[in-house]
Amino acid sequence: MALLAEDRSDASMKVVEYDGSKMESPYIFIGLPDVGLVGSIAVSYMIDSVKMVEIGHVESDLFPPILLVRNGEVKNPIRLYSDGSNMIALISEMPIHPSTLQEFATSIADWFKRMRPRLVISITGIPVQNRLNIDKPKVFYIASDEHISSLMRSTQALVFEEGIIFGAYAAILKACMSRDISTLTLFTQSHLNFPDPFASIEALDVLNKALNISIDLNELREEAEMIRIKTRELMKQTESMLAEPRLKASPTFYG
Amino acid sequence: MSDEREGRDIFDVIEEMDKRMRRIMERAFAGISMDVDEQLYDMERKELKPLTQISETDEEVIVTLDIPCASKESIELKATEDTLFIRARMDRCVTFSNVEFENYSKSVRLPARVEPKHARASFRNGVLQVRLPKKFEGNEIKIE
Repeated sequence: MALLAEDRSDASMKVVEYDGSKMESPYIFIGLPDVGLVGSIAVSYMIDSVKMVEIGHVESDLFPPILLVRNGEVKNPIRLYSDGSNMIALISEMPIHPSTLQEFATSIADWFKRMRPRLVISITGIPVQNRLNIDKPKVFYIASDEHISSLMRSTQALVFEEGIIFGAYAAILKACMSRDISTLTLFTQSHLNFPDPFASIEALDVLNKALNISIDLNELREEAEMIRIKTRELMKQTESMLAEPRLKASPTFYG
Repeated sequence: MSDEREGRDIFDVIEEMDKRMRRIMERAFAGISMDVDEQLYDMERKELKPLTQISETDEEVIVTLDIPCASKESIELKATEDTLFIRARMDRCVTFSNVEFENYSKSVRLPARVEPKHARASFRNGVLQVRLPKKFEGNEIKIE
């Protein structure tokens, strides 16, 4: 594949695009390995469901030398997808190490800025101790402006009023805020270190309503147990990353 | 091979490359557990090791295990004062690296001594939670 564009070519981390196609004000969805893999599962499912195609990846010497093989094809762990219309998705199949977070967030936010997105949507989990006894996890949100908040009023999502955000999503949120990019961050009640596709379903259900999109969630419901098994390895790696001292130092979770 | 390496024993070169790779991996994976006890699979026995969370209160040890695709009826649980053993059968085969897995199995070393006879377990949506009351092992101290 030809590499037509390389963002921040002087940086140690860069976004590599495979073609130069541009979209009008796309939604950008982010699913990174984090609490309960809520975002990873949600955005991976969205990519399959909408039949998005790979449009690029993020590469850096700071990342461990990892490549994935899928159906005989070599893949980078952090990839970008598009539906060719108005949706872009960013997923990672490896946890982002805290030491690389800042550079990662900066590179990604610079690329987002060039895409002139309508909205950048981050999906993550919020660990709750009694998750076992919760049938319908609640979804909380942080919106960067009043217009996005008004979209959320048509859903059952609640405002994230007080708490602490840390890790990859916090770094991206900060980088987007400083570049004046509109953001919506969803936090769904979830298990801390067990993959939680049922939390992903609640997040996607909220997005269906808020953005007037139609991701069919039936297959995700049917495949939830198998997804939990298939994502154990990534959950285990992510758990170790979440236990990093600098992340552990944050006093509490909200929820 | 570069001039710098000419004349050097091939094993020195390999050792140096190995050290460099280890440094890269250590930097990249600082904090990730590589403990063999934390393996998620037993390829030989064709068993999955469940993801496990252990927590403690003053009164009990709580072990939570993620066992999707297992049925309640298939779960075997045993506990001693310091170890919990679980085995469960999945309702379907799962294939990884061309190996078919049908069961979960794991021994969990408990962080405190417990009274296994008074343990309670619940199972919901593929998550098993076992609550084991801690064994009281102290002598009473009189206040003078």
